[in-house]
Amino acid sequence: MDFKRLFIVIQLVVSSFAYSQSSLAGYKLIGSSTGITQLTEAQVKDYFKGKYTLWKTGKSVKVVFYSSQSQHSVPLAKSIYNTTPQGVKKYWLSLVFQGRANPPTFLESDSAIISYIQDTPGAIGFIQQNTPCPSQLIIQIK
Amino acid sequence: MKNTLFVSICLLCSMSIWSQRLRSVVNGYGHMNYNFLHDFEANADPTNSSFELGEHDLFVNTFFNDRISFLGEFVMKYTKGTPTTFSASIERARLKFDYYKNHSVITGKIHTPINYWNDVYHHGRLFFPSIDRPTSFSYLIPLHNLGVQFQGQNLGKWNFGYDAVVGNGISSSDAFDDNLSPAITLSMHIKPVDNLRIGISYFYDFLTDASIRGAHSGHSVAPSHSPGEKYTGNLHYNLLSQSTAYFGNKHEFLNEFVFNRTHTDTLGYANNLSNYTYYGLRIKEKHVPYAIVDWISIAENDLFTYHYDIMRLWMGYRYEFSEMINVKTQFGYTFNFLNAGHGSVNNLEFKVQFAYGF
Repeated sequence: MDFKRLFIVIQLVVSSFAYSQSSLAGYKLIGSSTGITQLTEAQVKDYFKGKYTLWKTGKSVKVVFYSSQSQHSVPLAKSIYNTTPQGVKKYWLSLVFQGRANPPTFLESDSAIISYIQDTPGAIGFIQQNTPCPSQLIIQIK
Repeated sequence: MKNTLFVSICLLCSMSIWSQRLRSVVNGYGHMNYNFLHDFEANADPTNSSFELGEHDLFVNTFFNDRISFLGEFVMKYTKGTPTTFSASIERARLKFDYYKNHSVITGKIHTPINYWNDVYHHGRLFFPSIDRPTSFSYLIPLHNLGVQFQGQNLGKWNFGYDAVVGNGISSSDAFDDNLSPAITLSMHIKPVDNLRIGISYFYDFLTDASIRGAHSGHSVAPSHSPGEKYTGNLHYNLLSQSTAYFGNKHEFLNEFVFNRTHTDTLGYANNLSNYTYYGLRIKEKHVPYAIVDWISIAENDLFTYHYDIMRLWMGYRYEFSEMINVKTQFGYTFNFLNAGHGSVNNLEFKVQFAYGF
């Protein structure tokens, strides 16, 4: 095996390991009236940190996140905010208090999140990968 | 015809606003203190201790549509001399219009985006890393402004942000300014990595009568300015501020530097300085011991704040029960190098504060 092949094999192993380590892997991103169909993982994190105000459609960005009662809030809080679900709440309370972001909505179940997003243009949130939802809501993560 | 068209457009606009659901979010914030103070210069009763019911803050966010929102902050606090010994105040009431991407225009009463603390915390003691604001808040920082603000945030890969404000100045009230010259604030910051914000700002105001303290210069907690007869002439007020804030999972650091230059025809330029440094270390998930060095130096020829040199050293401990309630304790000493009629003297203090939100 020459060095080039070895390098490719290492790259593949590293990238597959990195993918399996991503806490977003077990979840899919959904949104309504956002005007986009795909985002990079870095962009997703930026949206969930309140860094963007408006979508291209002119709708305001409304973040939906699992409430701390949901077991899914822990891995997503770690992956996106590098903190605990309580830390996520504190982060948003502070940001909203500054008047620099719209307050997010915290919901416990996938069905509640899907229903809220369907009813709220500009809303974006995560649900579990295996939860069925209308295909037009799905936003691919590159 | 023109009138009919105008009325039709107005009707259509109102219908489009009201056909969307109005969304309001209400929060409350408050605090309670215990204060112990020993005054080393008092001859009689040098020590006192007291419980204090602090500010209670109703915080309202309303979204009229995707681009227009209202933010209000209404505070009740102890105020000596009023019939009920409490007073209510509108600390913020602003309408925000997000006109393009991350750019907004805001009108109303705001917290002057003059440094990190005033922009981020102000009345939210739940978010304060320590019990008290920096000393400069009682003397130098123009806390509020009433006017028009242009704001941009999270622009580019450095997360650049700007604020430009034109509004009523230091000596104005919430309904009246005493001259034609508005106060101007220019502020910018970057957030190159998560949890780090570095900013710089400039504020200018012209006061026709430097003895007038309006609704935007400070709060009732400010120590008295009583050097005898006050200067009542014109005064130019310049303030340059630099902030560096890092609040990570382990380390917390905040430095607020203020350079204030006033000018009067009587005594010329006066240069005033202030610096506040906070460092906290999260030793466990909910435990943060911290230390503070806070000083202010007002020049001898200053005719607005008046000659003053003070340094405060604090050691403190913060315990966070949850994201909605914490307790802080602080122990500190105030060195008062010079006192031109100001309220503070050399003293030893111990404080406890419960801060909460809901």
